[in-house]
Amino acid sequence: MTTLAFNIGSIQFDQPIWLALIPICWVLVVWIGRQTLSGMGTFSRRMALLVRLIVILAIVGAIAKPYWRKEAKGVNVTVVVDVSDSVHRPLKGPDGKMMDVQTYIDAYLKAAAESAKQGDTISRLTVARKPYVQSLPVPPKDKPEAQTLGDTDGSNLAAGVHMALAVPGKDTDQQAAAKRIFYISDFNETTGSIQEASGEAKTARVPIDVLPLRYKFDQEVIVERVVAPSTARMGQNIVLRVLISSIKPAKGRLSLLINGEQVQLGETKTEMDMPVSLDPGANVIPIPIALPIAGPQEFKAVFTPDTEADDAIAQNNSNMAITFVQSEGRVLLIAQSSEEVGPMMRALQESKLDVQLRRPEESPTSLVEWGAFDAVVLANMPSSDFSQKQQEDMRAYVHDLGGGLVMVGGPEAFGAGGWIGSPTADALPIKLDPPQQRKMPRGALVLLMHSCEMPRGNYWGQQVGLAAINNLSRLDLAGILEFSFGKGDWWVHPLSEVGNKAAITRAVNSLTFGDMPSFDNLLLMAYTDLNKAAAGAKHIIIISDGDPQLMNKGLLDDCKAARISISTVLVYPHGRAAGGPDWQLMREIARKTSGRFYSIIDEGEFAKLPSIFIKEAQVVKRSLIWEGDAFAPTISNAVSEPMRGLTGGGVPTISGYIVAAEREGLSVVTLRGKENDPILAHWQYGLGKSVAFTSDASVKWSTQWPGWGKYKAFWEQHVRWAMRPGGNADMRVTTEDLGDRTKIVVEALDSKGERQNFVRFAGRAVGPNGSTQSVELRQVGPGRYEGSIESSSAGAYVMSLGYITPDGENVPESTRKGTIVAAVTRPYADEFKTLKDNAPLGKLVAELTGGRVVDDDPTKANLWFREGLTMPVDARPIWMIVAMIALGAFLLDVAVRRIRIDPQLIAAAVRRGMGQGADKANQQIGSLKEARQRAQQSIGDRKPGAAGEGKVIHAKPGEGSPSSAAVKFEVSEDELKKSRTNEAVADLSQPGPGWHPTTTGLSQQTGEPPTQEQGLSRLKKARERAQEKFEDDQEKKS
Amino acid sequence: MFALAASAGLTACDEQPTNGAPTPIKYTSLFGGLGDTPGRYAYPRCLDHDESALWIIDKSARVQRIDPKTGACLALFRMPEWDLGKPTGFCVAPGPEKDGTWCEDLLYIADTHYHRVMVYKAPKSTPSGEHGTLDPVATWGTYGNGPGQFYYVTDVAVLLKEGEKEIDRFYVSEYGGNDRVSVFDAKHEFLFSFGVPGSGADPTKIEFNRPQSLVIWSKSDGSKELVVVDACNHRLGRFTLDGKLVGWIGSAANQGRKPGQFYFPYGIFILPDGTAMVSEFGGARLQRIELTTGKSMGCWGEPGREPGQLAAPWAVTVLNDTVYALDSANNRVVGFPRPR
Repeated sequence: MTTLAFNIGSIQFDQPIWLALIPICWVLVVWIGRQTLSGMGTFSRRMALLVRLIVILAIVGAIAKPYWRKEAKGVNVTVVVDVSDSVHRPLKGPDGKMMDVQTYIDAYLKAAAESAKQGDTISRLTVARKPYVQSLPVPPKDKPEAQTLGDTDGSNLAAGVHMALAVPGKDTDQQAAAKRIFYISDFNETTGSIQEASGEAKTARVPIDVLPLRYKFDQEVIVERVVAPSTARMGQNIVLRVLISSIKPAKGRLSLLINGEQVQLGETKTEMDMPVSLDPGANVIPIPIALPIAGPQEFKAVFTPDTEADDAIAQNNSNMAITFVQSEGRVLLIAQSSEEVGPMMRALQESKLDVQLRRPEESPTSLVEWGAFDAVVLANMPSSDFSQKQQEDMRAYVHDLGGGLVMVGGPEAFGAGGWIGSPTADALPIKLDPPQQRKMPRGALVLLMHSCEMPRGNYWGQQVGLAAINNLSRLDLAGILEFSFGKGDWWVHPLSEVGNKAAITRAVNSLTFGDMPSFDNLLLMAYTDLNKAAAGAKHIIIISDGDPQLMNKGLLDDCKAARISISTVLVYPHGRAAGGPDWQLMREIARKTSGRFYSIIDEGEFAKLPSIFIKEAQVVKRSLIWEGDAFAPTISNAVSEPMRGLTGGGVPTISGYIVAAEREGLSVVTLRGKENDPILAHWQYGLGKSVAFTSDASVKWSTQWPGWGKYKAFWEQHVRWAMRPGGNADMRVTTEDLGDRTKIVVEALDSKGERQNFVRFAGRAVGPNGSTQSVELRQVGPGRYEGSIESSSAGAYVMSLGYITPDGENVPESTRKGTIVAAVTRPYADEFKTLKDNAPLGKLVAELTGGRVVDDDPTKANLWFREGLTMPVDARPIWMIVAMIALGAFLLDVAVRRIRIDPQLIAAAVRRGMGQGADKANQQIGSLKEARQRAQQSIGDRKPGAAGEGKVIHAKPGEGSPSSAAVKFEVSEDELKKSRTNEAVADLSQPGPGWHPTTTGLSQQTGEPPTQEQGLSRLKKARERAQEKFEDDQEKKS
Repeated sequence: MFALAASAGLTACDEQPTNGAPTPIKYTSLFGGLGDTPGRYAYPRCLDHDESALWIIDKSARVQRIDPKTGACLALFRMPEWDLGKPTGFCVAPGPEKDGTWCEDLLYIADTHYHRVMVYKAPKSTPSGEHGTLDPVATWGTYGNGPGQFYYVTDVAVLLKEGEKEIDRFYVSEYGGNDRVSVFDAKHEFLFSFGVPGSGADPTKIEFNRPQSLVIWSKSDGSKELVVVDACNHRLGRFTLDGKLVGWIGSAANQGRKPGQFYFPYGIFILPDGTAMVSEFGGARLQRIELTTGKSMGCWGEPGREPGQLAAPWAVTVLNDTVYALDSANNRVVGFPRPR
């Protein structure tokens, strides 16, 4: 049964229909009561009736589902502030002065807080690309410290509404409060729809008040786009189209940079840029460009206004595009010197591959640059020569862009080169950790950690510790020492086998980085344990500000004698100038033990620390190098594609290689060394392929190889196998900006220029932050395929689209496959395209949700406006309490009818109780005895002389002897009438002050004291007899 | 975090000290907490007191006068430079102001990483200016290892002329390769120095390994000694005022956490009865030492972060019958009744 709720004061009944029973039941109760309660006195009868009515009221009330409702008094305003780049413009504050947006908003809220009432609260959110809660409900004048704002190059105002709705509305007592949202924004959004989100606010009955941040640029120039083909062939001439929009006529100069270098646009050689005159609206400026070299060509157009008044936002004055200039077989070979890779390079060049040799410091720094090559060969390169980002890019280059990676060994490569734990290692077809069962010398490394006095010392301490540990193999020994506030000088991790690195990683993460007073104890501990360790290379790395003391310089000689080297990393020393005591000590330690000394002075250099530790950890990795008598590796898989035709007669001998382990799964090992160690392996990794050759490129370990007749074929086949397939189709890629997404259109033509249908594409795109996404294209017309990618962040998105064309006559599968690489750039956020506020959208949101466009004057804002708000109600069920009241009243009803209540006696008892206190129990007994005596006397008094039948014996206190009178209880008719109205009983019960009802008379007839029960029973029987006699008399009379 | 004085069961002194077993201090006051607001600290390292209040310097180079009962900040100012590092020791002592006027409360601050001693007149309230700035009364010292020059200054002790309002000598300790004590006259002119880096105990060749604290010991017979806390040698050194060794208490070879041993002692305060309260940075405890015999009279504290535990206590002082330990890594001050 459900009906509308009904409120009486603070009580709400969910099923009020039941309340209709109350009057009906009351009438019945009164009617019945008149019949059943007639024997009671007037007062008692009325009391009993009243109690019964209460019982009925409570029972029905409980059935009607009562709730105790408490309506909220406070209002919570959730302020959502748009902090996206588009609103970062000076605004006029309440005092008329221009101020930045944040100061403006702080001043506004501070002034507006005056209108808050007691209990009102404020919550703060910011929103740009994502919303962030800055503070949960606090009193309006509190301003908690701001938290992160996230990326501000986008506006997702709808997300701000969603988050604001999720923030609980609480008053200052943390009770539920009514809620309003106060949105401060220019209402220009780059993603999402606040209009749709406001529908949810309306459903939740939360009005959104808005304060539009108003601005308008009367003159602005925006370089909207640089239009260039995504792909082109080498030598092709293309025409760049620079699209520039302007509000008013403007003049300026346009410059163009290709791969960061400015090209000549002017008529003379000294005039690098060109003058442009812009008309209001869109202007297209064509620039013809030749593409003489292969690889990605990044075109950046920059407009510079002649007068500052012509342009307000500098960020949108440039734009860029990338064209991938394709060529056949581009290979990047990275090596320390051409001598080291001479024979291999010649072999590849003779194979008609376009090989580019670079030193490691010239390596690509972006995924776009890596993507320009079909394969990358690393020859004897240590990981420390590449930044973490470069290593991550290399992995993505293979996995997501379909590139080929060939890692060639040498003493600085693979595990010995610090690649263990590197992202790039994931792409390799071998595991860089040696096999568990492999018996080989191992290294021992001790880290002595004291990085507490540098900014973010704990963070960097952990980073360098993990960097070093991650580069060790499981068989190496490692230990960590520090000074702890609790434990002093101690082994955080004792020198022991690294194993799966879980324990030592936990140890690194538990470092406390105490303020180390001295190196003496710690170096002694390190020396003692390293000296005992069964290890080949033994090394200590100390990171410190050089502040701790070292008195026992003899310890350094001991280390040297034990072939323990110590490298020192001086970080953020107290004395910045080289030559101070900190420097001297750290230098001396490294010099005396044949270690290396590093100094990291400024905070900006801290990022170098992990690579230093990786490099230093490699000192103990020398044990991964196998060197010995030359032997010919065993051919273990002669039928694999890259080894086809090379296995006849075996391969030349090698005298060294880096020990690694076979990778389970799809990896194919084709050459094996001692104890079945993999020498040559290859596999497919994601969209790309990789090859690992753990011996070197002919300088030291494989000197016999250049003379091998199949040497050229060996490298050509392996590099070509790994290379990204080029294909022979003509795929033209164009892109279109869709806001947060980019549309990709591919027009597929075959070598004859005919449109190709049913081409299957599989691709991935890598975003500017390294995130990857798959690219799916579907055919939308003859030879036309479309798809899209998410591209909301500013930066470059590199796509690799692998394709396979349908079967055709006499077309082998190898030529049906191919890969297209293309890039999309978003040089600046869409935020900078907005030229005026979108206040009408804010007004619409307010209207949709019942909110207001708030006054610019904060004193008139009245943010905690209550009108129209639905105040939340806290309703708690109280049916149990009401039912308990009903039960109590019911018991009271019984008590009223069964127990005689004498207020005067109660009052007297209370008085006595209060007066005498402690011996209360005895007094009560005494009182009872006294009352009994008085009652006996009273009965005696009712018998004047001889008691006759039908006469009431009036016993008065103090008269007659209770022990002498044999009392017979009889009533006259008159008395009986009184008894019906309870008066007779009242007479007995109220003989005078101090009297207590008790058993009298009859008990004394037996000579035994009657119990109370016996007395009442006899009284009752006497009354019944009187009643019977009365009725007999009545019958006789009638 | 706690902000003001807290109290735990005030105990009779005979319940403390312990016999070396690490035990939490039964403190009677505990205040401070991490922060850069007045009354809070960012790794405080220096502690001393004037007539009625404590003085504390933390690693943000803030010098605070602290009410010892409530922990409230009574005055605050900031050292002029702190990029390279902050003070690690100081003392409150009388001395002349710039104009020669005698002042009872001057702050002699070892400006460790700026290789100098700075002297300030103790302000009674926070000076105006950002963070409260204050001009020094005097400053001396230059970088170097020549006579009168400093590497890293650790502490200053002031010797007054008997019964006169006049400075007799200044003793300045340092470390970082110059581990020694330099002595200056009242005009900051270098007199002599003693000690070289080392760990030896030869009385003819005084060696120090980070002399972290200095204190003048006025003995009951009226004579005076200089006591040096030789932190990284885990010992105390008693010297005549002319730098002659009277005796070592503890040694690097006997470093440890047992009673009578030291583990990186950093701070010291000498009680009138000739015993010294020593705070042990590495040992995370206070130890009372009888200076004449070297006997341990008890230890207070154990390592930890809970109230009553200590983390890297740099300094100790005694004011109004209460021992105050600077619980540096916990950013607080802990007080307990002075032992008798």
